[in-house]
Amino acid sequence: MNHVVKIFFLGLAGFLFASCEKVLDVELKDAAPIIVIEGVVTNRADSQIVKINRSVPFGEPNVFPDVTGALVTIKENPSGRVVTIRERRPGYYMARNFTGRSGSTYELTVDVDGKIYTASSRMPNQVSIDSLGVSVSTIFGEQKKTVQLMYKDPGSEKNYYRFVLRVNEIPSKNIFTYDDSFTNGRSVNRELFDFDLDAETGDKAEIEMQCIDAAVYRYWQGLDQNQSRGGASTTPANPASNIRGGALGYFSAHTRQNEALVIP
Amino acid sequence: MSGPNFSKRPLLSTNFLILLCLLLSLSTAAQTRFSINGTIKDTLSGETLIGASIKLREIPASGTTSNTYGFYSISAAPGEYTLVVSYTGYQTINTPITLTNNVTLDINLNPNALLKEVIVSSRPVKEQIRDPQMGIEKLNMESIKNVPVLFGEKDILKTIQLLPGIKSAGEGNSGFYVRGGSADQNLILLDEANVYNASHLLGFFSTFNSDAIKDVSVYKGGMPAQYGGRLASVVDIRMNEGNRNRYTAEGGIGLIASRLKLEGPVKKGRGSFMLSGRRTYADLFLKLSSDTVLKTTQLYFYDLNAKANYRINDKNVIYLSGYFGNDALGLRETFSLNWGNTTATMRWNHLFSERMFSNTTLIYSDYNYAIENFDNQSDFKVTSRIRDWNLKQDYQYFGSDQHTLKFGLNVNHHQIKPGSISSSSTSSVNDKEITRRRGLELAAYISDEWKLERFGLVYGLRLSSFSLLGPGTFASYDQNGNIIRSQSVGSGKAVKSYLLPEPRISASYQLNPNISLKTSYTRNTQSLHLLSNSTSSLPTDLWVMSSNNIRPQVADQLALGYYQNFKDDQYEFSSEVYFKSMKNQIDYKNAANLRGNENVESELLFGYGRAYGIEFFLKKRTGKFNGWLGYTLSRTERKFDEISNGDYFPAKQDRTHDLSLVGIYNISKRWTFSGTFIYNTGNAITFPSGKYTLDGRTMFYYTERNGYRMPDYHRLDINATLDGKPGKKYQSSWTFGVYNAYNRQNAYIIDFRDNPDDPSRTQAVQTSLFGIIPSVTWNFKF
Repeated sequence: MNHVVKIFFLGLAGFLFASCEKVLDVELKDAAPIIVIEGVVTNRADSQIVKINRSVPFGEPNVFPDVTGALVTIKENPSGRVVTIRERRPGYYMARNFTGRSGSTYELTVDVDGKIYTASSRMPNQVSIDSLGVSVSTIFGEQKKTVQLMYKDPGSEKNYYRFVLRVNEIPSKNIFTYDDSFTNGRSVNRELFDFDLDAETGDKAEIEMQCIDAAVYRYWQGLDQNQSRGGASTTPANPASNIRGGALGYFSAHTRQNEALVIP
Repeated sequence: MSGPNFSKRPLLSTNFLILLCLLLSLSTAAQTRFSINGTIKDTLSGETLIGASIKLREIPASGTTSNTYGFYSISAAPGEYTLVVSYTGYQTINTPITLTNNVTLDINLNPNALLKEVIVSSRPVKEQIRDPQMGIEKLNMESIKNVPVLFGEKDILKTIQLLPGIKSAGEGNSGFYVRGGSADQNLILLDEANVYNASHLLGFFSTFNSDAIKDVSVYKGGMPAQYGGRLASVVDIRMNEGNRNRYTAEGGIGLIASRLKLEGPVKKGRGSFMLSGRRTYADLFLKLSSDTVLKTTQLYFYDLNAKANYRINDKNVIYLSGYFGNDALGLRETFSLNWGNTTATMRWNHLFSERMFSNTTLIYSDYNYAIENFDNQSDFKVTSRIRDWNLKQDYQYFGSDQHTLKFGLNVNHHQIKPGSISSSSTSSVNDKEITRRRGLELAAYISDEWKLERFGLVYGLRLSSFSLLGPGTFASYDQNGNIIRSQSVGSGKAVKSYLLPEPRISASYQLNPNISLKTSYTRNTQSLHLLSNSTSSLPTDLWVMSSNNIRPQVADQLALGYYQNFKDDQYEFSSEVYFKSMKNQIDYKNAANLRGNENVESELLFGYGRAYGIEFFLKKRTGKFNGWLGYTLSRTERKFDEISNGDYFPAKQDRTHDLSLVGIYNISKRWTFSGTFIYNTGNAITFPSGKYTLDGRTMFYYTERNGYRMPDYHRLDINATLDGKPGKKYQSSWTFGVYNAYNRQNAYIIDFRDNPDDPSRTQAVQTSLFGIIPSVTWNFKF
């Protein structure tokens, strides 16, 4: 709700005071490349994926060097089962015949040229999407359709959610993460509002709902706070990763549900 | 210094009494002397004059100034004297006086009608040389009228940002930083009441309607002992009391707001009243829009200032004053956000004797906001409030011509309601109430102003205490923010108390009548803290009290100054060097959640701050052309174990160079031109030094906090005022202004994003807020 307020303020300020934008040439320092690990274990088959690459300086193209030849394993607790994750293409490591389970804790170990990175994440219980819908609002003269979803938050536990929205295969750049501190035990109607993403009649909207753990929630919150919202952002910083060993990125064991609708 | 064992309050008062007796004995050991006392007023309006200079010509070292109620008292051995009373912009009065017993003498000063010129400072001539107080500036409200501002809406908080050592918190913003402090470290007082949020409409306007304001004093350092509770500065604003002689009305119609002020006598001059209101009307324009959303947009603020006083007899005067302000923002059927301050001050001036002036003040101050979301599936209403009840007892004792003693007590009860959420049964949102917090701030102070021919000294001590009170449950946290202990505390019981001694000393030495040197050491403490982890302040930012987790902030400031007047006091020059060290400063953990969070104290980081710099200030006081040039070279840093490897890093308000030039030119009897030019180094800011990809998005990698700079900021504003032909009953004037005259595109924010035209690359994008903005205001008075 604060996002809406901030966006409104920004829009209003822009409208009233005719703010103007220009592309700037800023001289930035070139940070040395850092290993980036994005590891995911879900309760669906064929989606246990670990991507490993490196960061690049700001001025470079968005081409992130893949890290090949890493040794990647995931251990499931309390079962003790260890799965080796094989490299399927450069920097892309995926497990076959292995699916995660709610309540289990997963330990990731990545060995890049002898340097070890570890992380652990517990897969929460699944909360499911009850229904999808579309709300219509008019903002600064434009009719805007916003995809929304309904789910019932369990009152007995602390829940953290992340939603991924795609419209006609184009992913929203917004980070939709929520906890249940205001909505514990309620039937929740969640609007996935993206000012820059236009959903029109006939478009296909896809929503992925993830139930994530506390550390991963905090990580996404940190990334979200780095995004500027009309000068009302926080001082940006690298979010606290659950990966030990000095890598960027995160390791998340989460449940996953994908649904789609055609915008009416 | 923090006293976990501090529970016996008598300790506080015993020490205080000893000190009081010591100081009193200093000043009462004089021989038989008689005093002259009274009130200094403006002949025409009957308004009391604050800071007028009163002296006896025969005793050059003598001299006092009228206090904030216009009261003065000066004493001498029996004899023949000439009493000289002067005040900036008024004709000096010389009154022969034979002193054989105590005399009460009220003095009326005539405004200097011949000198149609603006005087930028309301301090008396040579005051900056003689007064041991340093780090102070008093702006003349008349001169503020001529300083150009955004939208032509004259604004005291924006004008003080043109003084050296005081920096704007952002483009067109009424928030400000003083000597390395943050915006919440300024004590902003309106008739002694603390104003918690001094801004309207996202900070573009201050809550102070200039029409209602009589006097403004800004302390950047060496704060007198009667002020306490904030770290960086004191802005003491006094409202007009109202015309004692006749009814008048004045007002103005401007681009975004209109103003109206009414004032007049009560009971034939025994008292007076003043009522002043202001309202913006951007929303009225929006209603004309064809856009259905803009039509239903709520966007306005209003202010109402009211004051009345009544003189019961020569020894007793009562004052009542109040401020009510509110902002409303919203979209019908979507959401609304309202916020506002209310302050009320009741004062009783009492003269115990010719030399002993007393003021008792009861203050109520309230700041609250409400957010409402009307969406029927996720409707909710959030309300939050901070409320003070504050009782102050101040004494001023005019001991001899050398000593003036000030002492007093202060009891301030705070209550913070961090937020309560209510919603309908069909909403996604639960009802929730974050526990209210209560705190008691006690303070006693004493200070003596000691003036000799060349030497002056103000020394004193403020002894403050802060106690966080029950009822409630109070948690302690480990480094990771987990609760390690939780205690339940009964109503009125102290959870945690702090005892905070604050020594204040400021000394001056006059090398000759035109040059003086000063030095000061000041300790300030702050027990209430504003939590805001966003780069711009929002009306929903949260105030918290010192607690078992949060220690009071403490700042020690050492300053040295050089002051010189030249060309018959036409020019004033000053330079001050300061060094400030700050303890228990607050920053935030990564991804901190400050909203609706019971455990908000677990999201904080505590560290150090330091600030140092040199300020130069050259002022042309009088003449057809006047104004000032201010320049500050400074550095402001913070240090937290958890940020930037525990090294000092530049604070966001760190700006190396800061220059402001203000010029006012009375070209003819009717035309006045003015201009301001501002240049400063860009703020320290965090930019990415690398990038990486997660889930198909580009993320940015940061190597250090505030390791970059925003581009340099500069801007020229110009203003022209045309006064109407002087009529008998009716006066009017037109003010034309241009903000950002050469349309400089100053950077407001710089964002980093994927290039929309070439997603394989990233780019930096600068957003500027205000281009060239003309304004026109019509003012009237009758």
